[in-house]
Amino acid sequence: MRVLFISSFALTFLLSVVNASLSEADVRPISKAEAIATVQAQEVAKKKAQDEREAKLLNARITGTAIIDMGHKKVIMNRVRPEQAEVAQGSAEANSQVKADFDEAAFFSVATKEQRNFTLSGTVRNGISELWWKSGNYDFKIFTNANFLYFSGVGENFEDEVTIYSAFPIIVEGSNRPVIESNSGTWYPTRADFTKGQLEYYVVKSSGIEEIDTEALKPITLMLEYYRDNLGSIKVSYENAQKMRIARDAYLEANPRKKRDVIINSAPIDKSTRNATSE
Amino acid sequence: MNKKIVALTLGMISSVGLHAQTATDENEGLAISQDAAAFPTLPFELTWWARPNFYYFVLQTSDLTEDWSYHDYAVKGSFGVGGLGDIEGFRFDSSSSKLFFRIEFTDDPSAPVLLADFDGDFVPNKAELDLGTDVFNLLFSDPDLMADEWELFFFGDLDQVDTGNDDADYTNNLEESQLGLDPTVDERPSASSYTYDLLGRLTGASNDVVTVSYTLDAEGNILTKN
Repeated sequence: MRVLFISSFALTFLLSVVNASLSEADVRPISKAEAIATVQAQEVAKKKAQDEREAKLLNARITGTAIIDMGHKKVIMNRVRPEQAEVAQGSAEANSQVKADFDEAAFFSVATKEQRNFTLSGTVRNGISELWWKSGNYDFKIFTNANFLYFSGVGENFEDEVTIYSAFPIIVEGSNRPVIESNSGTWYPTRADFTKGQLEYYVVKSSGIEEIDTEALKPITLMLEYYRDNLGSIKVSYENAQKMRIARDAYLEANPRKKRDVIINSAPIDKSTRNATSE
Repeated sequence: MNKKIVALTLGMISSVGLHAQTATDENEGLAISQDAAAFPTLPFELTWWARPNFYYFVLQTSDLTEDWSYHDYAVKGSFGVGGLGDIEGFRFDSSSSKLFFRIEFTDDPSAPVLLADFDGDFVPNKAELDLGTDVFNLLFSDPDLMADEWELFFFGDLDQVDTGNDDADYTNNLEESQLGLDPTVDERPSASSYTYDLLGRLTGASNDVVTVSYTLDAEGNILTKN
C-alpha cells in the first residue's frame, strides 16, 4: 500500500492504494424467477407463522381482556393465568454440554481485542463512493473507486490484530450528476482520477487537521481490504438482494400484508416461583 | 420529597438478559429477560425494583413512532423484606416482533396519573392501588351491579346493596355509583343551581357533577326523577 499526498485547491488529499486482486464470487447468483419464488415462499411462510402465533396467543387461558383502539390497529391485552415454571428436561445436560464445548481460550483471545463501532455515511455516484464519518473531534471524508453500495445494509465486523470494528454503513445511490461542481468549489473526482485496476481512495483533509491520523483511517482501510478480498461475493450478494427487493416489492403490491392487531398476553410475576426458579 | 419520574428507560423484546435487580439500581433496574424453557407460553419477563409507597405504571408501544399506551398493569411498591422494596413486574408474550416498555412512577399524590381514573369507576387510580384493586378493569364479584372497587373505596366492604341509601339523599347506592356521587354524603346541599316551573315548583337541581330533573303532576307531586 502506498500513500500519496496531493494538494489541490484549498484542500489537501491523501491518496491511498489498496492493491487490487479481486476475488471470484463464492456466492451463487440467483435468477429473477428464483427471487420471485423465494420471496413468495418466504411471505407465505411468514404469514402462516404469524397466523399460528396469533392463534396460540388467543387460545391461552385468558381471564380478562382490555383493548386499546389506536385507530389503524388495536392493542389487545389479554390477562392470562399465571404460568407455573416448568423444569426443562435435559437442560442441565445441555448446559454442561455447552460448557464442555466452550472454548475458553478462544473466547478470551477475542475478548482482548478492543471493540469499536464504525458508522459511516455515503453516496455512490458513477461508481465512485463519497464517504464520511467522524473520528474523535474531526470529520473525515474520502472518495474511493470502491462501490460501497455493496456494503449497504451489511453489518460486518472488520478486525486487525488489536481492534474489532463493527461497521454500520449507511449508503445511498446518488444521481449520476456531473462530478465536478466548480460553482460550489467542491471537488469531486472522476474515474480518470483513479488508477485503472487499482483500488484507491482520496482523503479530504478537513481544515482543522494538521496531520491525518492513520489510526482514523484504519476501519476504512480494513473495509477496503475486505472489499478487495471479497468483491466477487459481496457484489453477487448485493445483486441478489436487489433482485429479492424488487421481487418482494412486486409481491407485496399484489398481495399487501394485512394490518394486524398487536396481541399481548401477560400475567403478574409469581414472586415465590420466581425466587424458587432463579436460585 | 415527592418524586415523579417519567420515561425512565426502555426495554425491548429482542434484548434478552439476566438481571437481578436491587434497591440501588439506576432506573429501578428495569429489565427484560427470557426463559422460554421454563415458561413456554409467557417466555418474557419485565421486572423492576419497586420502592415502597411509589406507584408504578407501565407504558408500551410496538413501534417507537406511535403513541405510548398504558399496559394494563400498575402496582404500588411494597416494603418487601428489609423495607427496601421488592421486585415487581409481569411475564408476557406478544404477536409483535418488537415491543418497547417504559415505566412511569411517582410518590406524588397529586400526579395526574394517580388522580386519573383509568377504568371509569369513579375511584382514582391512587385509591385503587392503595386498596389493591384493579386500576384497569371493573370487578363484579357479588350479585349487585356496583363495582367492587367502588364499594371498597366508599364502604370498605362488599356488603352493600343497590337499593341502599346510607346518606339518605335522593339517590340510592346504585345510582350514586353510576353518577359518580359519594354514597356516604348527602349531595343535596351541594346543588349549585335549581330550576322551577312557572308556578315556582322545583323541577330540577344540578351541580358540577350531576343534574337531576323532576316531572310533576298537577298538584306538584313528583312523578319521576331523571
